[in-house]
Amino acid sequence: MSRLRRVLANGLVALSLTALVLPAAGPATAHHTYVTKYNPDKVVTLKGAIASVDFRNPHIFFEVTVTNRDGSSTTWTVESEGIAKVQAKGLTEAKLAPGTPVTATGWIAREGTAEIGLKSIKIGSKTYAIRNTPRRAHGDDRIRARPAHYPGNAAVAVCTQRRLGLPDP
Amino acid sequence: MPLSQFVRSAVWAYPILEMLHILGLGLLFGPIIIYDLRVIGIVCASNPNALAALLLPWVWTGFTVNATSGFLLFASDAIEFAANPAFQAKMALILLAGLNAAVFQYRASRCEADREAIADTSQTSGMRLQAAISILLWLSVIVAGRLIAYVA
Repeated sequence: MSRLRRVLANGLVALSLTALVLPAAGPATAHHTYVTKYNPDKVVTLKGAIASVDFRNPHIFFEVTVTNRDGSSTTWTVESEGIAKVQAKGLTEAKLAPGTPVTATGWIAREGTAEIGLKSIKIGSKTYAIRNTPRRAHGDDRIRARPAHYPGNAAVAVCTQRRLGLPDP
Repeated sequence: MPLSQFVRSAVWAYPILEMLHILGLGLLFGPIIIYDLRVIGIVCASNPNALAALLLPWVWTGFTVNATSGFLLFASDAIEFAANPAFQAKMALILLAGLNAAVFQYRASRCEADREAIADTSQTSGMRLQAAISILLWLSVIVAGRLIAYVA
């Protein structure tokens, strides 16, 4: 029985140490997972020119410079899939050469920064559909609980208005 | 082309390194947990010293595979990885797990020298505790490693 007690005691020590170690890893604020980083409810469309490309694994990134109505410009960071997946959809590094005019559609970052997770991209007359998800899980309260002043809302509104050809809100 | 550039831009380099990293993880962690459970007394078959002799080469193989594949994955985006809190935690945990193993090895060798007094290295509760800590640390290494992709 004393052996069992020792095993249990060791287990207890192990569990308490786990509790110490895990928070040290930091909060799960998402780095490259679509559904945690990007908002599946907010699809935006960016019309602009490629500023730079980082065609790399595990995910490719590129920047799109969008000229705003007031004449200022915003450089958006666009994240997509890994090289093999993107190439399988027909999108290559050469097609994303800096300066190329593109229309990129994707999910905006939850944090309200100028970042989207790529859904599809139109280059010339060809549209490359890269990804259909994230889809919101039924009853996902994290999204509904978002405050009304969520900084991404303004950018989303602007993009939506433009897509519909309406003046900025 | 520099190696880091190759890892980030060759279509299959990164995925293959990830596969090797999982393979190495199995070779490293599998034998460790079986041995630790033997020392704790949950797994009872075999003499712990015989088990160690059987398993240790596999542990070192797994460690070599993972140190190599891990270094190459790290090199593909060194600045980003070095600043990642989960990556930092993982490196610290590997260091702690290594120190724990070294102290265990030292104590086990002393036990062997005094074999008449202590017939079985698993007889001391201090070493049982070290075995439990070993399992905990390696589990934490896996957790921290996986979290690298999810924390900023």
